[in-house]
Amino acid sequence: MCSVNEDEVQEVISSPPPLNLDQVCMKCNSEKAVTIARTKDPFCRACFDQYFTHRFRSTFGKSRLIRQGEEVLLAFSGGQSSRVLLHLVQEGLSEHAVKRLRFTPIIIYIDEGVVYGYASERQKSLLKEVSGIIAQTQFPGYFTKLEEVFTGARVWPISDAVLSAGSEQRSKLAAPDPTSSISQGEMPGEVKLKQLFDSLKSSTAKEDMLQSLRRQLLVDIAAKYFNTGKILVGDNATRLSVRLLGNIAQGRGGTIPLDTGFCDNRSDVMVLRPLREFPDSEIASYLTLHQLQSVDASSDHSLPGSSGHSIEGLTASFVHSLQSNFSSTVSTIFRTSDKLQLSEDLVHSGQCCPLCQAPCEESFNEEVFSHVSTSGNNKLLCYVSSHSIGCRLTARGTVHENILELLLKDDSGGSNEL
Amino acid sequence: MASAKGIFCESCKEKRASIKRPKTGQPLCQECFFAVFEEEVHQTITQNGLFNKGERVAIAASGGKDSTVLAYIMKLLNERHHYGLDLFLLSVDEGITGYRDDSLESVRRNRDQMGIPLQIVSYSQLYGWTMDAIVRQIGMKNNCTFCGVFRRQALDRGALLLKADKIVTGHNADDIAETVLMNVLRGDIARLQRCTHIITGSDGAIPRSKPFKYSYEKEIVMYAYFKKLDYFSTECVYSPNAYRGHARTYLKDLEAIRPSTIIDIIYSGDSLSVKAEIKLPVQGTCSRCGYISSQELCKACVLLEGLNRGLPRLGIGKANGSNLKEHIKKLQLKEERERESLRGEKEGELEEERVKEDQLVYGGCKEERGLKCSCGHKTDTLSLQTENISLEF
Repeated sequence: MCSVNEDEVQEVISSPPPLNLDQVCMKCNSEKAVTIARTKDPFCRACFDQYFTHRFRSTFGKSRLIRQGEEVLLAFSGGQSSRVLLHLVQEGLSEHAVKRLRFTPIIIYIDEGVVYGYASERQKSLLKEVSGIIAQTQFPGYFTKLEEVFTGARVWPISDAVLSAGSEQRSKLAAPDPTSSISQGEMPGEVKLKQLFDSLKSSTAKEDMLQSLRRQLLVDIAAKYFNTGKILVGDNATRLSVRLLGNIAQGRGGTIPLDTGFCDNRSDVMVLRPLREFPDSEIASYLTLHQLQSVDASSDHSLPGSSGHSIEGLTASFVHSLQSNFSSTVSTIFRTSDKLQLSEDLVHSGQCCPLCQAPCEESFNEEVFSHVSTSGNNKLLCYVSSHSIGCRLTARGTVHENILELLLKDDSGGSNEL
Repeated sequence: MASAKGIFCESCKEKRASIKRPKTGQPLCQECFFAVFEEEVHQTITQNGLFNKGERVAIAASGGKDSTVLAYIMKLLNERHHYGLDLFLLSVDEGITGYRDDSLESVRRNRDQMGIPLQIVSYSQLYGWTMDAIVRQIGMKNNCTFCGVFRRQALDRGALLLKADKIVTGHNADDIAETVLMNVLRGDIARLQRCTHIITGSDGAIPRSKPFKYSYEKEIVMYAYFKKLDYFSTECVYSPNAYRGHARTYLKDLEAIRPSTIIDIIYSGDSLSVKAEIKLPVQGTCSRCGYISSQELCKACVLLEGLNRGLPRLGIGKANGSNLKEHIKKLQLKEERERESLRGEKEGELEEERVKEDQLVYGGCKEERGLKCSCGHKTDTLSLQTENISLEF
């Protein structure tokens, strides 16, 4: 099948020009350029900062979602993007900021060590590193663990982590001390989480599940402890492009606006993505220019016990390799998401997937789409008929169908009580 | 296609399975595979209401696997389920030596084997250019643009000749999924929105449909192989297309991870919804040939004009959508300037160029040189063209 317009793509783009040290900043035309942004524009340090901050602010400003003095939960993983997000918020709230941000951030870190199968020492040292960074900001900081999604979404102040890392004995004094539990053997939540991930065979399903649980936990915490309706996350343009393609590949096309837009309002608590305009490369530049340290908790590790590539992993390497040949790849993919909306069917469906909480269609024509159609064998697919198609696919990967059902029931029961 | 010894067919549970169905991974025996494959296409046709009784349906036939299987299945289902359709094969001869001439041979054999009448329309008749000649002008890059644009119109014109009510094409699930990905990568929101539609062109043009929308390429190949259908399986000699190749590889890798991905992408494409405030190109008609177009001139006319004026790159490349007109203007200006500079030296050549420009050839009506081209009225053009085209029954 020949297509008509592929040449457009080929001609527009060439690989990004290497930074020429003689280049002058395209904005002030006087200073030497130190970095390249927007695929080809040389910027000096000051202008880059200005550009970056402005873009960050305007992403917020356009949405007009955050009210003065509002408390906002900031999800900090320690990774590059959320490190930049934390720094931008810190700068925006500081005394010398030109136009101060008006909200009050609360920082939250999720320990996902159980899922990645980290040894408890590694988990502790990660927590310590992250705590150190959060403590420097002077913002109130808390941490939780992914398994808390099953056990009431508890949180602990970050200072506990700092203290307990200092002396093991002290930790036993605090009643629900989380760090000690690591050494005290597995708690029920931990067991459940492990079982769940062990039962997911494919790495695609694992990653998808991790994302759903993470989101759910953040939402629960925001509502339960901090009574806030907003969560800031560090998703950047590159990651969102990968997610967009990956979601299309997982049958989640209908909910792309929720999964990649600035505001994800599928539940009462909104998830906001103020870094969505910045690609990986600009995030990296910002980190370097500000000499910020990030903690890479997960990016260097794939989920254990999974075989081969995941859809998300494959998509990421596909986007990255395209991006290195055609430098407008990410921005093109990413702009697509801006032009999409939730379809009418989904808005009025009134049904939500219990797992990813996205609205889903009531009547899903399995006959045609299905993977099925051999007569009398329709059970291959959806045993959980109220799930969105993407989650059905994930759920199909479970060895024990019941485990998933069980966990979901427990979980939704918990969050309903809030 | 792992022959699973000792595993029984999951459908009939009697015979031994000989096929692992690519779409679902089910072990099936050959007969059950045929039955399932055919039934799925039948379901697709009936659930989407692709045809009405008594309609004349043109099957776009390239001689490749998809269209060969499509022709075979259409005939089979038409008889089995009494669709009451008049079927025709419709082929486009792009004029590609070493590719299309051979594949047309296999279409002719299909005509004889299946007993479906065949109609061939050629680029040289319709446009006055063969692809071979176009490639000599433009080179190996971008020539697919010409071929794709011209084929679209050629099929419609062929279908008009056949007085067909519908056209069916052999686009399979893989093709459609790949197109969804391509349109995301290109940011082509208008095409992204419509590329998964099973019926297109219901406004004005002859409706086209894709009965293989949910059929996997692998299964089509299997079907053709086990049914020993006669098809032509050579890549087009001009086809290498890097960017689409990336999308293809990505899709195949996805399929390897999770076979349902192909259908999931189509499902995604179907459930996408474009914001109301996004401006989409408005479909109108070409002021020159009357064919549907979102611009003043349709793409085929722009490309033809470029070819005939010796500016083959006209209408190719970055200029798309709204700035196409400016692009043409710019090119004309540039041409003008070049002429100015040449004026002093080469008076004679200039005159020649002018004459060439006057001889614009559209829709194969060379006879009408200097007069207003009759393409403005579709029927006139066609009556003019039918003289050159023999119906091959």
